[in-house]
Amino acid sequence: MEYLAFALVNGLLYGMLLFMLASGLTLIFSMMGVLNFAHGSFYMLGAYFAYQIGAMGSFWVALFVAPVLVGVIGMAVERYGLRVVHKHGHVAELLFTFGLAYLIEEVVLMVWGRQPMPYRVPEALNFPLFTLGEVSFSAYRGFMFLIALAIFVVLIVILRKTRLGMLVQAALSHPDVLWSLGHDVPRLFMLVFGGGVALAGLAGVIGGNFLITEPGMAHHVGTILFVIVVIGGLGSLAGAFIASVGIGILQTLMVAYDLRLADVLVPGLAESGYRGPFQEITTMTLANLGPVMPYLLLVVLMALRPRGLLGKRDH
Amino acid sequence: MPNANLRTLIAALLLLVIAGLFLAAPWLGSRATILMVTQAVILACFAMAYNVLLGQTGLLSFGPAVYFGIGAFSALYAVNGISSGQLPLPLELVPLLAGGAGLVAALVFGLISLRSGQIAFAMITMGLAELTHVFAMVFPSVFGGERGVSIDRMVENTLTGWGYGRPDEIYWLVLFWAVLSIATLAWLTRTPLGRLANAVRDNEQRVAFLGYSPARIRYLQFALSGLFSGLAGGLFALTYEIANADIFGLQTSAGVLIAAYVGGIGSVFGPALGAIVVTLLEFRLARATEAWLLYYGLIFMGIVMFAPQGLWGLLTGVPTAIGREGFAVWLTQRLKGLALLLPGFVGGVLIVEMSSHRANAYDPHLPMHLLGLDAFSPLNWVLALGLVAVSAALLLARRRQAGRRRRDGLTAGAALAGGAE
Amino acid sequence: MNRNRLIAAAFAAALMPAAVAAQSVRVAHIDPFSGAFANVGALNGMHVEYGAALVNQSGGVLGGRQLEVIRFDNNANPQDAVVVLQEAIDQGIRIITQATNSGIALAVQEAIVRHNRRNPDDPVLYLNYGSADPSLTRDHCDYYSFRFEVHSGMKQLAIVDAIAANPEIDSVYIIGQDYSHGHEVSRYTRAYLAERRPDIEVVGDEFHPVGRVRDFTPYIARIQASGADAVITGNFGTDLSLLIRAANEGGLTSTIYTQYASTFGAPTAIGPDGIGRVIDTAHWTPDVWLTHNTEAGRQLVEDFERTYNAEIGSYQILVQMQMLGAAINAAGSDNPTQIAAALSGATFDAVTGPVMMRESDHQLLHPLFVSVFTDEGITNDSEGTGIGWRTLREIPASELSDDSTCQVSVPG
Repeated sequence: MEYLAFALVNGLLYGMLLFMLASGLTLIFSMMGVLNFAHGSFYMLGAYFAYQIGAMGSFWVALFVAPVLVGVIGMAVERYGLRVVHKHGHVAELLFTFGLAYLIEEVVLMVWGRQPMPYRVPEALNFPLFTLGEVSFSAYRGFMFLIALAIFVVLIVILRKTRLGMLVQAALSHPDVLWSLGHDVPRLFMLVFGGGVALAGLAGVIGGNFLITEPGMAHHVGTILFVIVVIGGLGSLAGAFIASVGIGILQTLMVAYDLRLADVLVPGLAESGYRGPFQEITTMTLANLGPVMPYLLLVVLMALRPRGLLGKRDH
Repeated sequence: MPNANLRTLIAALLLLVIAGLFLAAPWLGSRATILMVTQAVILACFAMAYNVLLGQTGLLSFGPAVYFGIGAFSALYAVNGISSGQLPLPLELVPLLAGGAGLVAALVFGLISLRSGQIAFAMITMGLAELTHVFAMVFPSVFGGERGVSIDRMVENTLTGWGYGRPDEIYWLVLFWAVLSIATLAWLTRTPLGRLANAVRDNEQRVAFLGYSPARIRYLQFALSGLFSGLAGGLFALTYEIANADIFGLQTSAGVLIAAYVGGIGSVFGPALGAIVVTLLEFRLARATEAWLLYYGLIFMGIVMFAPQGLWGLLTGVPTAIGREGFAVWLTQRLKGLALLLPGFVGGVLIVEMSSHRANAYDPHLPMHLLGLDAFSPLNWVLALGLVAVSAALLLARRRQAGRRRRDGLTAGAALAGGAE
Repeated sequence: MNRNRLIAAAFAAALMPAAVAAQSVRVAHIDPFSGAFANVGALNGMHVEYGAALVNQSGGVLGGRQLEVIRFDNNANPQDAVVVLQEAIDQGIRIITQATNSGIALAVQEAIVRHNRRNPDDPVLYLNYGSADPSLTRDHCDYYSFRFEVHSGMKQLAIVDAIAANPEIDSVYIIGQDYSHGHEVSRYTRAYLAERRPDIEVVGDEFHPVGRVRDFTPYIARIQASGADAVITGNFGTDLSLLIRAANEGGLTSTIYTQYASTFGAPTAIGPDGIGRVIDTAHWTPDVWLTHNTEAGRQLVEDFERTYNAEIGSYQILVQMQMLGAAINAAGSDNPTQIAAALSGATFDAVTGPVMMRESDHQLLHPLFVSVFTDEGITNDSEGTGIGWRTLREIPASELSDDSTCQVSVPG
């Protein structure tokens, strides 16, 4: 029971970090139909910028400046890159971001080198906040949770209550009408893309010191984000939210169970002392597979319900 | 249509030159060159198989590595079976078996992958690729863990009686299967199935109206792609005689995607050309500069942005352009463009090389390989940035000019139309 | 050397490449020199070049010939590594060294073994300084392959040795990556513990997928619940740093025993979170040479730092190059078969103590040092973090020598 409470809390905290990363991606995906492969790279840029600003100023300055810088870069990328490719279709756009991810990583390597950066959690937040069971959680985790929650609330308000939000919603369901009404859709796209990657940059500022700021970090978060966005469903911020927290809790829970796969699949197999091809199955536990669960979930869900959890239409 | 004829002629010439080079390769280069060419040929076959989905059917897959890897591992096990005498199969037919394994895998995974639209397809293939990669890593009893599975391809049972110890012997075997596959794939694009696949890519509803099942066509194409990807994987296994779980990684899929796109996914032979160019870049550019991956990325981005028809499209498009503009005008235009871009190119290369030198050299203060430049001299940086600025300014000016000309043209046209009324 | 003479020498070298080639003994260094692992390749490159320079400064080989290092970029990919290996062989180079990434190292070794089998009159020598996969010298030892890195089983022996000596440890928790290396660590730990401290209970033995876990807190919760006194992990890279950070945040107080916490980049990534809680085993940390505190050691460390503005990280590479130079001289030839004969069973006085190339399986026996990550009582820190490694125990090479299971077969 106590572990269940731990799983819920930890899953929620970790899920919120995932959501922070995925929110920008889902925004861009739903608005522009672009699966931004470079999203993780913008997250990486946010972390490196924050480290650099933090080394010169402070973390709190970086918290505001780094996402803005990343957002500006994002807008430039949209204006001078993505917009050019747009006429060649979604596959070309996807490949463009794919190449961009490649390029950003190379540039980061060239500027900062291969070794991890000593980007640390600010001292002011580096103390245990509460303890659950035997595991303590730091104040920084609470801070991350609050920021992610704020992002969720602000995004919902913007989408539901502001003109910009209405336009985004309209573009989602009736992009052609928006065009014919004379709205500057390209400019809207630029803002959405810039805003979306700025969120990734913010996640980099906050996640880069909690996790590790190094050139592989973009790659490490890359695919899991797509899993969240796609499972959540096209255009659904709430879907992404549920998917993030759900994956967080599921992964935490799976680690807890020492359930042997062999016992589930073929009773008696584990005790048979089987040796030969795939012998590892006899010792494999559910916990071993926790981190790959999301991919399995993705494949199963896509095959059964292509629109995702809360998606309004098929992709 | 003289242009169309010329285009075919150019394409034929291009193919002939490439084929000639590949036939002569064993006499032209060292063993390392032969190995490099072998790698290019394998990637060409793989890229062609991949393009059955991407270019022909409009399906973006992130999981070609799955079928390539399955082909490679089944070939490794087949060769081990042959050398232990358990499998009565001549070595030359191993790639066929690998293709069969790829086909079976594609038939199974195709059932899951092809349920729905483009993006969902891309995501499912990505999920399957990740799962397969992890699967291969957690079963060292089959995939050999880090060490992988290795073979000795010098077996008794061969059709030709060759030993296959020398790189040129395996090269001929690889070339035979690759050319056969590429020819088959090219022929397939001209069959009704190939045409229907193109139609599915362009307009699914119309195909459905005509009474065909788009799902069925996709499934067939998916199976074909798996078959030839597996075959390419088999060729890979015979060449390197080793593979581990990393063959299922994203790097393999990304490599073939880039190769196909750079060559041109809209043409039949584009991906093969792309594979050759990409392999050459990988070895020759890497020899020239440590920042080669950045250039590689830039080339890819450049193609995505400005030449979606790929290198093949660019090359075969030349006669059309000449025919339209006349040779003299075409040449001046190209030279003008070159002159505009050259300063920016030189400046850009300088910036990249100086940055990379400062980041990676043992002692960044030593002069660089490139012209012995000092990467810390402000003068060099100003020069490099200046060159880039020159190109940018020239391009901007030309764009403005073109914009003005278009506007003038429009007003002139409007006036003309007004006059005619 | 002044600038003009340098230029003159460069011109001379350019004009007579053939003559130079005939004079120098060439070593091909295959590693990633571009892309994501370029820094690692560059760092290894410094060690290889510096090792060659050490040989050349003390008179070179075969009466004044130089050891010349030629670099080949493997693009961090096993297939490209095999192609450039062929290129090196085509150029007449018969001594190959490389290591970064076990998968690539194993592919290259495999290719060299095949080359030697198919060309018995023209063999190639393979010097591996980095791949720690035990199978390289345990199941697949080979006459022409030499490993200068201690393998993970030997490191685990040193760790268990340190744990066994601590009477306060009653239980351990093993956690590792679900790949060959993680499983080897688990296997060796259990075997050695059963031998040395059968009373210690293994309360957890767990694997997680490589490089896919972002949140280690659930694992920390399990370790907490098990009440283990010590955690043993073979993790490296982010899997290691994230584990240690999560342990720190979760309030885990058990000591974490590692194999890779002192390698390039790890001290920076772990940072203050690891102070006092991480114990690593390695053949080199910035303070290791102080255990023997010789003048040679001081000179080596200071001169390397002066030359490259970097710390020595992989000392075994320097040992490898010096042992290679000595073996060429002892053999009186640059013929790989004769060098291999001279290297086999060779001994060398390293600044960390005597080392020996075991005759049976060509595994170098090198002293190992168990040290704690700390900012107190250290002389040199790691990577400018202000934190370094204080040596707790030294395990001499002779104590690591009882695990040979392989016997190379002498050709001919």
